[in-house]
Amino acid sequence: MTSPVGDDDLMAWIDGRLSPERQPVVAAFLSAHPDVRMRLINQAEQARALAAAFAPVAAQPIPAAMRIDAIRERRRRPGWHAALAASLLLAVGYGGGWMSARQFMPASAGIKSLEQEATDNYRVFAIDTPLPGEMRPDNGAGLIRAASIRFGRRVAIPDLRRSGYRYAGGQLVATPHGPAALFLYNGAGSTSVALLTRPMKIDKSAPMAGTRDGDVGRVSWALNGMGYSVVGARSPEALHPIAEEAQRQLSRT
Amino acid sequence: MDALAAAIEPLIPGLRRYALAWTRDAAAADDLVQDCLERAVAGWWRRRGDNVRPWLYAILHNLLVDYGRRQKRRGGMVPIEDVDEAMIGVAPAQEAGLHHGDVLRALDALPVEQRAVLLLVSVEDLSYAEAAAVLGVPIGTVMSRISRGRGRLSAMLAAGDQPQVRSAK
Repeated sequence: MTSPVGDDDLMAWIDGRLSPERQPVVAAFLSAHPDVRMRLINQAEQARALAAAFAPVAAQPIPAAMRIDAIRERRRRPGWHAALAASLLLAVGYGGGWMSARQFMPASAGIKSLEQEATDNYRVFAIDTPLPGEMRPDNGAGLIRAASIRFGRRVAIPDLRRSGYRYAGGQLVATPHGPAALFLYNGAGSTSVALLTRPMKIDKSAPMAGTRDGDVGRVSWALNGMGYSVVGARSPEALHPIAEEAQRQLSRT
Repeated sequence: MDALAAAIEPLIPGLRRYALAWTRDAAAADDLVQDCLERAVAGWWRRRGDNVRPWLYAILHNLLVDYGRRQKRRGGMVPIEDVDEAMIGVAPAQEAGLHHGDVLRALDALPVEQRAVLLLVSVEDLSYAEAAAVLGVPIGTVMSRISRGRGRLSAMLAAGDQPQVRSAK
């Protein structure tokens, strides 16, 4: 017994993807229903027009930056400008003495260093290896307690599920500017983002801004003396709505 | 060429086409493809399954959905009527047959999920199973979305017969 003709058969007819067994069944149906056949011929014509409309871009040469080698090359030198900045800082320190190095410090101790700390931690922890037990998401309450004690204020883990990211764990991390809390989130297609937060000595309030570091994008801001940096292997533009969602929740606490 | 480049690079023209079909902005499309490729290289060893094509399209598709949401929030979508076809890099109108502009306008009026399956199947030539994997839905859902999408597209094009005749002179 053959099963009746369905919409899926008709779509497969348009796309030329009918199985050999279904071909005679559908052909018989269409010769009995010339109106349906006419409709399908129209739809097939529209599908061809659609394909033709977008054909030119696929015929163009691809930008060199899209070569896998070019992408690898950029990934191999992540944070090269941070390294450069650090070596300049050292040069100033050695050349101008301890005081000038110290004067130089505050400029780098604000939001810029926060986002670099977030980036460094993202690179260490947001890789696809299972997190150690103490970092697992079910330890969220313990992490909040530990961070709140060290920061002297209540800390919250933003829920980013509305942005497509589920909390995957976190821990306290050390930075040159004191303890920070690192929250990790997993999204679809094995993507992950990290949120780093710590009290700010300078830049206690700063508007949200996006930067890039090699293959990693960062969106950072500060509010009421706490700094926040959202980091992921995505463009800053793509991270912006995630940061906005986090900020919306954090500004309520 | 190594395995990774051999698996990914041949798919780049199609990825650019898919991104352009969504954004109609060549620069934004290429930025999103670049983002997609960087994530693919970063996540290469973590991907599940052997079929690279739906995996890559899924990464790009998610980026495009994010992008569309942001555009909508900004209210920044340029109506397709205002966009010069040469500027967006699509083929010029045909003299005979369907006018590309009409097809694109009708496509833009479709619900996002129907537009996605039509582009993946009719333009990118993904199998129904691959399209289902990209969108994370069962194959039956893909079939019903294609059927409804095509029905709507032809209804809109039939209703728009007048301007089509006019523009064809």
